[in-house]
Amino acid sequence: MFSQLILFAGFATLIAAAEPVWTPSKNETVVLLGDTFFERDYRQGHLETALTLATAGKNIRIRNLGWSGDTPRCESRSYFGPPAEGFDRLRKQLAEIKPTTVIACYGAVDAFEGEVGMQSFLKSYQTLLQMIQSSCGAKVVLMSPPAVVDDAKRYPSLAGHNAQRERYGKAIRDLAASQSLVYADLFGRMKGQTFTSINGVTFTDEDYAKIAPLFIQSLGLSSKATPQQHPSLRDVIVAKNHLFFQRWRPQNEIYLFGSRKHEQGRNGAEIPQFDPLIAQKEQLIFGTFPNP
Amino acid sequence: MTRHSLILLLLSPTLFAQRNLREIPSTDPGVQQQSFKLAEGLEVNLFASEPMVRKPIQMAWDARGRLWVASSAIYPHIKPGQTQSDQILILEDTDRDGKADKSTVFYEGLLIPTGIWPQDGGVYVANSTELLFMQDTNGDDKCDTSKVLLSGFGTEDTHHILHTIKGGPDGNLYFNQSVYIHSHIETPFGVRRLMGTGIWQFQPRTGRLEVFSMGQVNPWGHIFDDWGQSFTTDGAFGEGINYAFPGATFRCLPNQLPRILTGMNPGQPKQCGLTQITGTHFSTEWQGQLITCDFRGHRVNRFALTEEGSGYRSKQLPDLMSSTHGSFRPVDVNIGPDGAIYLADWFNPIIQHGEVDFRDPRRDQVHGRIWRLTMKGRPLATPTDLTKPSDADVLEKLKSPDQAVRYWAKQEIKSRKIKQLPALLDAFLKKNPSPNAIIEAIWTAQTADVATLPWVLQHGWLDGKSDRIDHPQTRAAVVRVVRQMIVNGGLANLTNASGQALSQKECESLFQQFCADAHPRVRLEAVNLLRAWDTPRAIEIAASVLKQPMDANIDFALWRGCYELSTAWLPAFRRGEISFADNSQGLLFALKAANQADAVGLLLDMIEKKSGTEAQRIELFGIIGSTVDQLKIDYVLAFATEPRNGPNERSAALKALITAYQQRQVKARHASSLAALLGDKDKGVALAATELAGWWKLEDARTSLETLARGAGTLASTAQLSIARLGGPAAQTFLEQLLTTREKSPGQADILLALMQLDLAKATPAVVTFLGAQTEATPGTAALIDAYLTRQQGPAVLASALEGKTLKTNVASQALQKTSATGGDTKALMDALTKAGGLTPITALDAAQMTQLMNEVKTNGNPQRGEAVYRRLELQCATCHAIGPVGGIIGPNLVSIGSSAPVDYIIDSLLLPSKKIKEGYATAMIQLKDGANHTGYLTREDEKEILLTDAAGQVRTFSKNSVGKKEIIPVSLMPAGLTNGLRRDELTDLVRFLSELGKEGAYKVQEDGTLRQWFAHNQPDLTNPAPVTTWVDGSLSPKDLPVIAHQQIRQRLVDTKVEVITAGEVVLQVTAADDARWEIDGKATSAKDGAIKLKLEKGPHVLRMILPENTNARPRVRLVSPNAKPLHAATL
Repeated sequence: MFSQLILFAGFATLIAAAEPVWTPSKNETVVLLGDTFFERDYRQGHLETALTLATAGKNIRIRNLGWSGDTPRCESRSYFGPPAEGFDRLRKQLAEIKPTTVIACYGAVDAFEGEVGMQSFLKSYQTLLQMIQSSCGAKVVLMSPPAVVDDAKRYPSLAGHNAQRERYGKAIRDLAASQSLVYADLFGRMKGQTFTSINGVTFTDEDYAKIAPLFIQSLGLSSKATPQQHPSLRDVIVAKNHLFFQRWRPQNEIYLFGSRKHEQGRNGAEIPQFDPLIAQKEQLIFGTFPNP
Repeated sequence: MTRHSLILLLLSPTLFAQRNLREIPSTDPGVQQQSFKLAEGLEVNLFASEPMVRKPIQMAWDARGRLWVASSAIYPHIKPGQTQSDQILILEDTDRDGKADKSTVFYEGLLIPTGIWPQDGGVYVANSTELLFMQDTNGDDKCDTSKVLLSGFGTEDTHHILHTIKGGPDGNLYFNQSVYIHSHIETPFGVRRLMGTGIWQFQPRTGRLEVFSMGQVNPWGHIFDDWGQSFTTDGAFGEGINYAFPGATFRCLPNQLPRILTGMNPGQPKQCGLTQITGTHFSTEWQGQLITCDFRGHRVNRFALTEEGSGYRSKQLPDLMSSTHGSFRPVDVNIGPDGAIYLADWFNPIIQHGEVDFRDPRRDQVHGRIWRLTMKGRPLATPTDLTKPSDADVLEKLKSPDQAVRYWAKQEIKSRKIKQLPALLDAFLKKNPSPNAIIEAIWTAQTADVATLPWVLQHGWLDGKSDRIDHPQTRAAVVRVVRQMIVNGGLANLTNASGQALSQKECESLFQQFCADAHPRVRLEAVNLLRAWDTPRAIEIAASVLKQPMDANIDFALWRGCYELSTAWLPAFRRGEISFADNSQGLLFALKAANQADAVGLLLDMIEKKSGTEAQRIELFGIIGSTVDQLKIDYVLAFATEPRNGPNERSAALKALITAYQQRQVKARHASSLAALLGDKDKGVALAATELAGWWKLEDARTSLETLARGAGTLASTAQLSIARLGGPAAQTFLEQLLTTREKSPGQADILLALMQLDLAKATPAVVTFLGAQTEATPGTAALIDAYLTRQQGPAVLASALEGKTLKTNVASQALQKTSATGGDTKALMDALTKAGGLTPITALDAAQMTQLMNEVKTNGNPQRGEAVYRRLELQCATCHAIGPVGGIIGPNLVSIGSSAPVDYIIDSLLLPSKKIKEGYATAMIQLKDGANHTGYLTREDEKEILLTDAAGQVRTFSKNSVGKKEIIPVSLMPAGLTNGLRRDELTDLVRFLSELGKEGAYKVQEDGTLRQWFAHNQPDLTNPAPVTTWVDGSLSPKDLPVIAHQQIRQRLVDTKVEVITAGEVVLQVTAADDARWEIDGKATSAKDGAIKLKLEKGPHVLRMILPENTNARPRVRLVSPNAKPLHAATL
């Protein structure tokens, strides 16, 4: 398998034809799962708007579960317990949301560990994939981590870091191949492009607008319409995302559901009240499509 | 209250939650202003109020002298469908009359912004999970671009989220997060995670984010003094001013490190915000004072700092202001460009949102005030425009007495991106060679981040001659700058004056000089620097500070390095790469701090070589106990059995083996040699060996154990328990027989405990018979109840055995109290005990009963009598709780309970402690794999162990391996039913007393030098005096002081301790003690005109007061000299 990959490495188009491709169906629920790269999209919605446009007419619901600094071990998703608590939280959320497709984008955090962290990364990724299978049975698309800004003068600490990201991307590609999952090479599409960026590793709103078509392409999708042409659609998506954020990652966890719930603990009941509001926004999203 | 509103209240069930808030304070600023009581010489005016500002949280001045305010009407929680509409405001006083005349909404659309800092042509904003940078690019004072700089800050509790952004003189930004918050931030240097509390340090230019300090429950206020040292306050804990340095770690829930530092004023209320008085408006005596806000007590507190060792001492001064207005909530404080003190008043009758519904209608979401305090008759400072002067003139502003002017001068220089900055700075220093100018110039270079490192080093430590700056605060600040260079780029960043990198050897020699500096603060900074270097050699060099006098801060800083870097330095030491050559004390310290299993061999070597003092070696056995594994355990036993070793060390070795067995079930392979130690002539050795024989189930020791078990005292009871651990029918027969010979003797309970260990069910009928026969609740009965409660099946077994039996009321009530403070399913046992003891079950008051009791508290409750009830021994209030700086430390400090908690909350807490549990006092229950249950406060948890503090204040360590399950249970460690024995009028008085604590008046603890911790003698030979604390007013009552026949005279003797910081005259003010005689360190002295004047050396001194048997004195002693402080430790 490995030698085959090397053999075909030079013939990207050939491989593309042979690799599994994600074909979104109607009424899918898609979860974006990952770290800061996905998390930041919730507040400006470029990636999600592009994905919505590229699947126009299919009424796809999108749920952004990106969490800053996260890894396949769900290290950012636990509150007071070990990462395992975060892993369980994600399991429950997936069981509740019931996605039909999970687009997972990990590796950006682990790449800082370099080669040393690779085995542990892949092992935990496999565990995560099993969990996704058992909790909701969704199809999984594995996406490479994004590239960082390669400018040693501005960001000396990132000199050479893209080589690590690329290495992690390739390992993710192999992992996808070994499990017959769709692999989305975002890294390859971002590499060599210039981005303003916030600090070399995270991106500005304008950068996200630029990344959005690459994101879509990496998923094997295309769209003539661009998010820029549909500012009001993006507004609705962002509004929906704000509501959903307060639904799945509400503030005051400790009083709503945690160890201080016993004090007055009445406010947890409000959280499901976000659901109909999210659904309302979703109807607007489905209704504002351009005619296919 | 009018009759009308009372009727309304009774009809409105939603208002029952916090009845004492029936009277919502007036929202009229005039009414509020009239309630203010100010320090002498000050006046107050309203700078801004609604609609110009509402719900201010943090406020900060920009370089142009405009006040930026982060405000939130959404707090505590966004409603489903509610728009994110919180605001950033700019307030301006354009005509400089001390009142804002312009308010601009810079941005609307945030979610509970709790931090703000205008700088770099925009404003940094803490917005829930994110740190934003918002800019107005077209000059209309409206935000038009906004970017997320960092994200992933936790939001588990909205009054603990990212807050208090402050710019440091070093050019870094600092911001805080508090308890319960878990943050995960991606940066160009990798992910940064902070679980729990801490202060972050952020370099805007590079995006580097590091943890500056950790701990404090809710670190809120943060300031830098003239030398760049950080001071903080805590909005959820009570230690006043904290001195924070890089790596400093304070108390948290649970603690983030095994060791922590403490704040400088234990026993303070919770405090928000912090500023230091600088500039020209306030007169000299006010300069340098710290101002912080007691938002619950409606007061603004004041402290003075003095240098002490590597750190400081903080002394409380009379309040800056106080108010009786229930909505006055000062939360932030700073100094304005005119030199006045500005206070952000969050204005709310309800604080917090744990105990009060998020949607409680009495929450104020509309009002907010900024108050301005000035000194009567003093000229205001003139605002400084830094944009127009030349570069050199801006640098001259680095000499301003106003810290803010110096700050903005550095920022202005940075914004000008001056190429020739080093030359300019040289010229500036030539004109101004003062220490202040040196450090300000260095910070300017650091802030501007020009390629001026050689310049900094040349002027900072001056080519290796660290003593060339004859000013320790400056030297310390320079070492901090060097530390930052190492954080940024390792040793490669350190170059000589001509720009060549220093060799590692040159760097090391420099670090060694820092560690040997004459001033402790430089040495503290040196250790922090070396920790940042993060290599084995760094630890070896850092340990050289031990050759100089140590203090708590340096000790902590070194410990943290040795502890955290042990995985690097310990292997390097084994490989011989570092040796601690002439510094065996350093090695001892480092090994102890490392607390690693693979250090046990090294520790044993050191012990055998008799390194250090005996006390130090005994401490090392403590580490051996918690780390030794199977490989080394026989060596420890061999040490204990070797008679040539000292008895104290041998018994310490045996105790280490007991700990090792309890925590990790490790046991020596050749255990039989232990048997001989049971008869050792040293009592300590014999006792430890007797206990260990039981844990190891050492058959060879059975006969010896039986002999010992027939004796009396601790050795006998230990032997009985060990026989039970050995087990088998022989043990059963032996113990049962022993019991029959001991009827009605004091040792009976011990034998029963041993029988319970052997077979719980079999022993229980005898235990119940024993309990039924007891007329008093004793330590013995308590131990038996505990033994049931810690066993998984225990409560059920005892409950069914109690069926049809009776217990004396006091025995049953002791058992009930213990049971109520334990987790797990104990309902059956509570019912059984209630029935067996004929007790009235504890029930909650219904709404009408509660209203009636609250009315009685208000009309009949007498706080003076209530304090006497509080101090009664059997209630145990003072055993667990402190009021101010003295008292128990198990429960929350009650210093401001009255000003912060409603009366019904206090009543509920007394009657049903588990209904109201203060943050951080939740109980953890762990179930060990062997089935035992333990409950207590979760003091700390890491990958190796869990530490619980039980209701007696004992900290117990459990190895993670032995723990099956851990859960946080909604049960208070405060036993229910403590007040059951009170008459109704006594309960009313007690509640009244508690509800007065912290309010303006007689029950506000004054930290004014009053000596509050005393030790009363109760033995004629004056051994073992018992601790006694003063009443809230600082006085001692003769009733608290036993009469003893000392030297044939019946009299009362009571001691206290003071610490003299600098030798010289110490004055003690004495009131209401005319018939007292006095001794200092055993020598007679006397009081004249209400004062004792003493000449004392540096260090601790014991003051004794001697009162006649018949006295009407109500003595109060207060230290008035600034060179001494009361010692409030609980032991003499």
